[in-house]
Amino acid sequence: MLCQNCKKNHATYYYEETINGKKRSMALCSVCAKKLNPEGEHPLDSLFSSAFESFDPFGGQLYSSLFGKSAPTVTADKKCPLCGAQYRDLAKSGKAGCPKCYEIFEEELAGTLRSIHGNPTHIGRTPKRLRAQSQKRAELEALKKDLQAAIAAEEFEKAASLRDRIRTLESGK
Amino acid sequence: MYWYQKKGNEKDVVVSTRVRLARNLADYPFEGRLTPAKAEEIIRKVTSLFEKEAGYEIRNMADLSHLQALSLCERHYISPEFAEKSTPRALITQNERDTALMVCEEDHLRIQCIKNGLAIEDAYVGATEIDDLLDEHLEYAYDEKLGYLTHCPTNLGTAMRVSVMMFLPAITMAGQIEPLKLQLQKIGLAVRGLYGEGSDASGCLYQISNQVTLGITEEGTLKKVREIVSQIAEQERRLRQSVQGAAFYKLIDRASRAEGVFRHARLLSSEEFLKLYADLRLGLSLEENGHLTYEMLDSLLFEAMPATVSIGTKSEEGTQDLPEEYKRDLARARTVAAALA
Ligand SMILES: [Zn+2]
Ligand SMILES: [Zn+2]
Repeated sequence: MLCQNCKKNHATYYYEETINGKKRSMALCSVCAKKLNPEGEHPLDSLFSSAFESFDPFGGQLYSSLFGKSAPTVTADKKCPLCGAQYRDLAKSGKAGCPKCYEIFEEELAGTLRSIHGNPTHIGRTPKRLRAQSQKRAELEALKKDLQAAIAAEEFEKAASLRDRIRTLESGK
Repeated sequence: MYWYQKKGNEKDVVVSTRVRLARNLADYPFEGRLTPAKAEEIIRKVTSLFEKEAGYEIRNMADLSHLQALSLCERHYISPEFAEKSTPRALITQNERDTALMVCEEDHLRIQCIKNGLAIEDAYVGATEIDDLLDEHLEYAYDEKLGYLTHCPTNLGTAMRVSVMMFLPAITMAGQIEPLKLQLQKIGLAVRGLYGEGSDASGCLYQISNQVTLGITEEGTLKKVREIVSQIAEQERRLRQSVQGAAFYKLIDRASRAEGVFRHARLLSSEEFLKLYADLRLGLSLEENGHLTYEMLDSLLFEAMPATVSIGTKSEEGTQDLPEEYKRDLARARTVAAALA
């Protein structure tokens, strides 16, 4: 995730400020975080960093001095429905609370996952239930292509039998 | 028979090969947010799948003493974290297949297959057998993009760790461990000393393992580790063969002295054991030794560790009042001498 202030550096801190009842959250690099927090006496909410340091020695209080008078608060609302974890819990431990956390905090985790793994997609083993699914999807696509080719070639008998097979597959039998 | 008592391939340079797969159940929180009741639920679900399967042994970790758990860890059946935890957890093992399944470790399921010597493919096949069995009945936590979802984000993707434990005395003596480490780091592999590094007590034992788990297939990972391990093995053997003249006799003298101590010592600390183990093991590859095998020495490596040695031997008459450490060192010396007799 890039710093939302300078849009140049990798963001390593995460803030939310409340001004006149309006909430605004920001991911910042360390340079901008220091600029916006001139007191600089409190460590800030580190993004789920790849160093996985535990960083929050002062509990929730350390957010309060941020942005001078605007009295920012940490993102407190979003909770994982399966395990109850908030993003800050993940940031603190460096680990997900449950499998669902990866979906709920997808955006927040994107930068960290990129810094650990780069930007690749899984290409290894797949659970059986999904293996069958993706196989079926590939098979359907191939059949539909054949169907179009058969229609274009005016091979209607072949097209009819292809259509039957597609229907059977789609109905899940 | 335990995995380390079986015959292994390329034993002159490889002690063991392990493949570990992390798996989690979709509907349960990870360690830390998993209540004991939910953990018990997972354990019931998983153990019930193995109760009727032949050859599997199921242990409730709560039924084991701390010492017994540590001994399983020393013999590489479980992780140190799993041995130390106090939350509900179970261990399922299949000795014939050299597989073990930790239930409610850091991840809900940690499947491992550990083989004596170099056996990367076999270890992978062993691990996937358990994986297939579990997959048949349980809903794994999985994401199309991120692969198998794990507690720690560093394991996402295949969630597979392949590690080969290598014996590298020549590379160590040549001062080439650090360069090797840097070189491997660049291609996504790690080298880690098993019992510390550089000290006499390190045993010259290193674990080579993959670091990358996302964006690479299991087969790709196995191939990469296999290639690198064979390159390191070649380098180690070349260095050993280049030892000639006085240096050669010095090394085989050290091996013979080590054997002498192993046969006759009355007190043997684990530090001294590791040093002599390395001397003797290197000697085996330099000169025929009619009565010792790598398998014998490696069995000792696992059975002479502190917890295992304390469990395995009753304390001698008249030693009851000695400090624990002495009792252990006495027992270790006895275990080693008996194995070589
Ligand atoms: Zn910035
Ligand atoms: Zn969660």
